[in-house]
Amino acid sequence: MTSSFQTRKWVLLTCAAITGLMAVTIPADAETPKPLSLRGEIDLDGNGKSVLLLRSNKAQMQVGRLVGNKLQFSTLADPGLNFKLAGVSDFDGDGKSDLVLVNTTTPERGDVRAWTNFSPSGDKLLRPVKHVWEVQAVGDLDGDGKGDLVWRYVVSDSPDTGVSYIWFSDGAGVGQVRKRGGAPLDWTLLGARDLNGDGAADMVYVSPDGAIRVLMATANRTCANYGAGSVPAGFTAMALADFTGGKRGDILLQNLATGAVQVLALDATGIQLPPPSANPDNPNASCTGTAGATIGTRILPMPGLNPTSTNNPQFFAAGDFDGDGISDILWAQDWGELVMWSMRPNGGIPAINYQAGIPPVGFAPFNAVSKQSPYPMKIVSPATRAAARLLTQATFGATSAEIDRVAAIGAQSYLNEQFALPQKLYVPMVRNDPDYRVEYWNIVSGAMWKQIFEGNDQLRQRVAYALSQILVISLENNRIQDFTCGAAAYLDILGKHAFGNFRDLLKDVTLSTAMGEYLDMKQNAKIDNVGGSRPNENYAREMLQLFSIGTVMLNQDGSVQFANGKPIDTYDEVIVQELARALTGWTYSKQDQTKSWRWLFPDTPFPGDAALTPEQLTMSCDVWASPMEPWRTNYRANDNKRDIVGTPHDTFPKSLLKYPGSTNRKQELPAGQTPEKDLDDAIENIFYHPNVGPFIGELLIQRLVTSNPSGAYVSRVAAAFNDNGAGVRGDMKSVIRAILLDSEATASIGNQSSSFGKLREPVLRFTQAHRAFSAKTGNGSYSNIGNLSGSQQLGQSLLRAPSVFNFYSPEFAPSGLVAKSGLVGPEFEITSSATLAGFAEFSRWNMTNGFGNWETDKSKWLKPHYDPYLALASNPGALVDALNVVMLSGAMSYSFRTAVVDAVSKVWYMGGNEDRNLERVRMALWLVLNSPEYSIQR
Amino acid sequence: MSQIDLHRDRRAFIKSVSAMASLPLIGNVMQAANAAGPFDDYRALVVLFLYGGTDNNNMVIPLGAEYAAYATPRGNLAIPQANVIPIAAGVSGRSFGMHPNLKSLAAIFNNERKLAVASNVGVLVEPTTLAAFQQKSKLPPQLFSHSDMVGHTHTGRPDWPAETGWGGRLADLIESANGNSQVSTSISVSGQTVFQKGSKVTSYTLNEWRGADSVIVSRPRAYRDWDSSSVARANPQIAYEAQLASAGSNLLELQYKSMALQAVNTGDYLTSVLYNVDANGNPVRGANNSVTEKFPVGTAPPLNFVDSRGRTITNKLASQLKSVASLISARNVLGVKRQIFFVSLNGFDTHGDQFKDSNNEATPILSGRHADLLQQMDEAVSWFYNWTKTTGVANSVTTATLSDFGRTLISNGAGSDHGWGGHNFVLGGAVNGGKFYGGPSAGQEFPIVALGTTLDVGQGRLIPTTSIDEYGATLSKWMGASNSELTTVFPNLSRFPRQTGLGFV
Repeated sequence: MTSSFQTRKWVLLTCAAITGLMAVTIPADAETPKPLSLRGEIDLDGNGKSVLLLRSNKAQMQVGRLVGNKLQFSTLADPGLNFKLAGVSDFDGDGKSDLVLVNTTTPERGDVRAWTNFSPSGDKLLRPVKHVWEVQAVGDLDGDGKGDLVWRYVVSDSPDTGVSYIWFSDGAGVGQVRKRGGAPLDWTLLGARDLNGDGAADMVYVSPDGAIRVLMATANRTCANYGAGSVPAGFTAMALADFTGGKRGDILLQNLATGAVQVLALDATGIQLPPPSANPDNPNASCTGTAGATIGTRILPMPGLNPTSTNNPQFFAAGDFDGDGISDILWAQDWGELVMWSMRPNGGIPAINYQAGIPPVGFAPFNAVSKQSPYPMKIVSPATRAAARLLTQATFGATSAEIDRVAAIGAQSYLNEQFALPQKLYVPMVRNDPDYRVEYWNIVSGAMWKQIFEGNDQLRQRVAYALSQILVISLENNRIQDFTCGAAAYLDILGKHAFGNFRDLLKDVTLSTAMGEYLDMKQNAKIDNVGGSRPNENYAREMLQLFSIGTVMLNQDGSVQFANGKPIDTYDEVIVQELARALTGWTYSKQDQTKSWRWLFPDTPFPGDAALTPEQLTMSCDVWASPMEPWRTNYRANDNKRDIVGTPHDTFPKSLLKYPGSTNRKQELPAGQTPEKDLDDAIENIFYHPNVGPFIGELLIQRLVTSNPSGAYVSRVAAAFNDNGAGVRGDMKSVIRAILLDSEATASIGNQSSSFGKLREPVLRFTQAHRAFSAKTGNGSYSNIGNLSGSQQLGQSLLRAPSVFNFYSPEFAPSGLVAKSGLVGPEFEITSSATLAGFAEFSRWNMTNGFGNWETDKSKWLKPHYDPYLALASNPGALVDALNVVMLSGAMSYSFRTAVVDAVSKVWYMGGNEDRNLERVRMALWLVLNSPEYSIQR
Repeated sequence: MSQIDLHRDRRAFIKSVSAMASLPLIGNVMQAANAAGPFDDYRALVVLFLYGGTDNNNMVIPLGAEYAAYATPRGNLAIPQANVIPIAAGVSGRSFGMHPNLKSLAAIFNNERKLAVASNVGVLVEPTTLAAFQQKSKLPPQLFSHSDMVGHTHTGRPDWPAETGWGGRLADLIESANGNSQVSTSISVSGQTVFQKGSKVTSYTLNEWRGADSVIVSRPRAYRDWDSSSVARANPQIAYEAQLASAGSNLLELQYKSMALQAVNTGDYLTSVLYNVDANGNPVRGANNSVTEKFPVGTAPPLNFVDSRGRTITNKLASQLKSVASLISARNVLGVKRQIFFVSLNGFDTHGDQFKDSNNEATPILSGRHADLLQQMDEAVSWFYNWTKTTGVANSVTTATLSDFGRTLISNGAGSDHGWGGHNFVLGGAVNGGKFYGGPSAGQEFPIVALGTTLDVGQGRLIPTTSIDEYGATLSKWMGASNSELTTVFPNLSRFPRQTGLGFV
């Protein structure tokens, strides 16, 4: 299968292991027509008339029966939202169709159940099936008078993609299960109908370029492959049924551009099948081999439909609704009324009924429609898929050109290329922003957005962004928002050490003025025996709990160490107080330390103050862009009443973290050390704690790849942290390589566990939806994007976490399946009924067609370049396939693709094709952005 | 501070199952729950979470002889005696007051006696002492950590993996009282919480913030409007909803689907209950984009707040409580008898900015962050209480506060650090107010506020004398849980003395 899969050639074919047995002949009595229910049609009543089966997405079913010349609708019992309809087949062969259901609420596999004669009381379990399988054809595939099911593997990215298995019914349940043929997923399986009159239904496939192939089946459950000509140019195969009364399968063809309709009659009568294989029950006997003879076809012209007319008829369903032995066609007009073509024998002009009834609103037909796309799915190559996924994990989104480029050079080269790119510094960007003193509240995030949308250093930025969610500061703090150089310098620290060493990162973060502001390390003084105040513990506590080691001892695989049934704590309150003392005595840089009151009231001029001199303006930025400095002279305490003797740094001894090996790692700080020495020692003490690798490693995995990494994955990343191969601990490049190139990060969908992946956070959806289309503003400024944290917006924004605990906890488990399975889903903490609705609205207006598309000043518009996609939009299938690559890394399921293609193909626009195409791109993108499949990055 | 929920402990248990062979199966925690009820009357519990750990020391303040022991260690955090609003708590021989910005709540305490203070409440695994603390025994895991203490306060079971919250377990018990109502018994106006996580009940989330005339329920409705633009015929609704009902092979995807389905279905329903809607199910918009509420709340809530820096900001708590008021008004149409609401106010983690950072203030502690937050709470909660009176549901609605923890008595120069026990307010027509609850005996309903007491584990961090279990059990009992069911809501309740609650409601 593999080679043919890759070359995309037709491969089905005769049964393996032909051993010269006698040829199969067709028994004469096979020409007796089978009940309608065994011919791939839905007959609820056993009266030889098809019914129209409809279901709404609110889990209601309706059935339409033709009474006189009108369809009359009534309600059917529905199995509920937990179930999807898999197919309708007369499983027990009693002449009445049975309903086959799949439970969609269980992970990985769902129970397949049958409701005999559509009755809840006839419910029975057949067997569970993986959700990657879908029923694509029904019928009596072995001619034994019982309806069978043809399942097809409909997720790309697996060697099984496109393969079919038949569940042969034994009347009570599933008897034999046989693999019968495989075709690339872009071949449409139209259905199964008997083509040679042997009583066994044959499967009909159509290739992307219109070639028709038939998998002839026999009573012995053997099979052989035949060609059957091709669909005429310009036409699309819409349905397979007996439209001519010839007791064979016919294909309904429509030219979607001109509205022309034809029936292509297939007839394989007299075709001699090759002898059955020696062991037809061999479960591995697949219909592969060389092509057989060609099956005869006839084209029968039909009346045309006018695609530009206001009623715009669309194919709705096929079935023998009038019970005359010939399948009929229902077309839906724009306002809902169905038109029925009552088909005549041998291609005669159909009787047309323009008022065949109006189905209830919100219901979609289930009869032989949803499985047949006129727009065959394009298969994504494994290399493209791998590159697209790497770029999803490692960047803020990528264009298809970039995906192709990375597919060509490979992951390793891409990472090396990214590691080599120079860092773009934020402080000068912010300082030189013309709005530096005016709209200062948006310029830091504006600079970040600019670099995200315009910069090539995507990996550095993405890792720095991940770090900004672990070592958190927030523009929600007024002073950090006001003094923009502080946050800009903080971003430069994250960006620098994203490709550097974690130890340097921890030190520079600790000394950054913005962090000093955010968690109160600046101006933190020793115990004041006069005023009674004591060191602020805020930074010391979060430095341990969130920035380095966490609260409990971990094994290298991230699992928790226990003693006496309880997790072992990494530190207690005393350690927090000791560490807080070690970190006392720091304040803003560039202060006049001869003035003791400057400890309390430092000189940091507010840049928004119009009265500042140029020198003050420069100093304002420099103070915040520089690391904090120790205060070396006497200081004045906060109650403003007296001077304190001495400097603010606590010079008593301190006891820090104890862990295996900590005796060599500054676990005791002697008395009298300088603030710098105490700080360096404390950093060393923390950095060598064995928790850092698994703790920081798992957090980074969660930010980039998956919420629930296996212990082995965490352990491999922690090992890379502990030693980069050259004896260096904390090498971030080594950690990044280990995370992104790990087999768990790069596994094919078929090899992923059911817990793999992560909910895409809103900010990353926003960036990807623009970057995939090379969106940029005309004026080069991105401050217009501003704060998107409102629940009616993204519910998240750059550097705007509500607290040091970020927007979500790495341990959050939403109620439901995730919590019940013992898993976590951090990003679900900012996902609720309110935010889902908010994002649906926000994404429609602000992400499809670009943020700021409503601006009068078009230079502010973050304008996406949809051109290549607009060019594809006249073929909705090609459009959605392209979005599959850039948005979903090629992981889109067949059924989701079909649903999007169906919706998009109906977009029609008064203004003409240009406007129509834009609207198609927008709707397809919106459907993708709000879909469960896209929402989980995997 | 925002909603926090750290499950390191839960994952710890799960990841180490082999090391914990004697651990009962986690999934069986709730198996014994039976349904409470039925109930004739309507009752709503509104839980107000003060995220960040509110400074208990400046909410209720000892006066008279006890004031000095409060004020001295507080230093620049002490509220001057003259500014404290005296309250008549009836504790023999002791006098108390409230923060000057808690004007309305102090008045309700003093005059209507419908506000009770549960003093020194906190997270405990069992009653404990200073000696035990010093030996590090009988302590909740990760004492003083925000995320853990918020988690413990939400779960009501600090020594157990965070599978469910006590609000969720209570909802599991009482939801049958709501029959076939299409809305959840648990409604959050403040995002996802562990508090409302139940075994059966899935909470529904309303918009956290809204303007004066916007709607409180959101629906993923963009797809419905697509048709009404100049695009005709296409119906993304089918594709969108088909995805929500179709299969998936991934647990996170299935989780997302079920949440999106709830957003669509409950959103549609609630919108139609609360507003006049058009054919697409959207609220009908009138002049100035206004909507017509079917259950108008009446008196406008105090949505605008001028903080002590002179900036006008939105009182998000008032906005959240207005949404609660709307849903309570619609209770009969919704067909609900019992509801648990969750609202919150953020920003109480006042390490470095508890008061206004200015050299010009005579008494800096009277303004700034904590003072602003208390005033927002005072304005919003008293508005809500008055609304319940006007609407005639005062006896059916009880509002109760919770917070991460209390704070240190000692100042760190600019604020206070993480503590343990803190004080909670309970307000409503059914509350036996004007009193303190908690403490071991008469006269000790409120702890001695001073350094070096038998409750001080350091810098004035208080060992709680009432557990979250006892406090929550009092509220759960009022909501209809029987005495035996209280142990389902709080499995550790039997370790504490007041197993049928404190009696404040």
